[in-house]
Amino acid sequence: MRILVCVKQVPDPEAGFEPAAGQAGLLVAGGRYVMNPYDAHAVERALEIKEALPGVEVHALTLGPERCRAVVHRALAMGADRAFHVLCDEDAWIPPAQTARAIARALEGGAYDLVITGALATDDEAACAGPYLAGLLGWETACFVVSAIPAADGKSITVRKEGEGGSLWESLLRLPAVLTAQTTEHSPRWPSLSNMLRANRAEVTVLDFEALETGPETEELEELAEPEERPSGLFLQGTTEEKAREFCRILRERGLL
Amino acid sequence: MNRDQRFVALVVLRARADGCVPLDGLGLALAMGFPLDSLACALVSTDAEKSAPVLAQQTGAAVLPVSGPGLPGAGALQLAVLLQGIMERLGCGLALFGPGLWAMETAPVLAALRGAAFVPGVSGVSRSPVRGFSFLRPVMNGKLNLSLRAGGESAVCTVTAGAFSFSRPPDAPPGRVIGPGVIVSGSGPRWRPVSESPSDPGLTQADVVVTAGRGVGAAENMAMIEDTAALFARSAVAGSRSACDAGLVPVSRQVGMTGKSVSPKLYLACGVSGARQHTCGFSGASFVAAVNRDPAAPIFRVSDICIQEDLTRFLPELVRICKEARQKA
Repeated sequence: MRILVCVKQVPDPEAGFEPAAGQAGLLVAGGRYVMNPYDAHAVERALEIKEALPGVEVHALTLGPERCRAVVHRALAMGADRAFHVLCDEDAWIPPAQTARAIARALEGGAYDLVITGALATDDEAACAGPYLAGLLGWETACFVVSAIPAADGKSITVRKEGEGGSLWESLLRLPAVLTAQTTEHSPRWPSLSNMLRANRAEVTVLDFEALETGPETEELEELAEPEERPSGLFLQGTTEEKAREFCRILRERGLL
Repeated sequence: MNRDQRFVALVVLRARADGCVPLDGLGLALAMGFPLDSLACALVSTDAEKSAPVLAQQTGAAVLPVSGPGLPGAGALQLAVLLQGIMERLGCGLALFGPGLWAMETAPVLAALRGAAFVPGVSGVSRSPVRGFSFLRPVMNGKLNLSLRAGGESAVCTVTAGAFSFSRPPDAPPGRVIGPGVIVSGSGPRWRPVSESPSDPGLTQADVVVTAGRGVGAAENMAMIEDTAALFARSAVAGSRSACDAGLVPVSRQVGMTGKSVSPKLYLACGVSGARQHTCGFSGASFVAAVNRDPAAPIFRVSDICIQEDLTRFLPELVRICKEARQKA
């Protein structure tokens, strides 16, 4: 079985940021980037399959400018076998549908049985590259997957996914398929320093985005801007005790206490 | 089905487990300036044949029932192929979905099958005669807005929860059912529930919901959340996704996109950052207060009362003062 895991570099959710002036992409001032947290769970899910079944290969792919190579290096350090980087310009904004088209072109001829992406990226929050890719390929898909257990023959996979209202659903999917990974209470493995150093020296196959000929963009970015200030709530002032007294008064006034 | 009838857009309406049909997609269609009689609604529901006339009467739109033995366990690919067939038969260029996980899974597949533009989580829309539709969607946890021009008359959209509400125009004539309905067969991979939506009426019916986020930190701090909830008569403790992943709160008490939706009189978010995947779960709350150390936390953008404090200092103080106030009263 061959698995392709798609990993994206996103602005560090823990860091402050502002949109870089004049750029159409989702860039951050200061340049702190990390692997999208959902994609780390996608890598983990793929590696769990690799550990459960002999002969499974895990490939990692990212799309973006040079700096994004760091996330496939991290996937290699976590345990992926090969890495690919679809390289594009720093200031290009690639709509998620276009990303899915590029992945579809990049995986042609790769004989993949399974593609796993994160359920959503914390920057554009589109949550669609995985299912859009499934539609392009005509493969089965499941989103917000919390577990994926392969059959012994490697031809199907038992998938559990989250549904509305906290429900949990299960199905046996024949491969090929596209899954998107939900976060779970099991944190993705943390690569050791020696594995990171080894991965940073590993070869990454670079593919040129333009050469993949993904066709005209169906979505065009007009503007990336800060939202209009919505009428802000009331910030309570004073010491901790004064704020607690004021909040208590408000609760009583509203008949809540 | 009257094959001569053509519609501009297919509004895909899916009944929730409780039978309620959110009409956000219809709200988006009206915001896009489409008259009701140019819209067809696909009502995807196990009892669609029965409820379609009611929905047509309620909304004034044309409603096509989509039902059948295969519906409860149908996968995204099967449903997207079926919706694609409906769009071709009705001549629809646009497909508009509501919010929710089902739409997030099915709508992109449909867009890819059609080679159409895809705009997820639309929160605003405008139209210019020259440039066509511009869609607005929040990104980076609501800190930025992305404005997109998409696909002329051929696009698939989902909406941000709570961004569009539908009310039937007062002069709209009653809608009608267009049929025969579409049957979802039982072929293809089937999904079966491993656990239904965890029944937790204590949470969904509570007047006050006190929610723990990742900012609660250590498990021992949960006692402060519980003590705070205990101040109120009909209260419940809930958690954000990251609090549930961290094992602070059971998954059955998760509020948000993959959890419960609640509409309490007071929603008190403690140490919650305010990711949209969480805030969409309490958009019906009457009054929202948040405690967070970070004055720039997105949760403060959706709060009526903002308390910039360390919750481990603030909550014990609040509990003490409220108990004092109660004794004096």
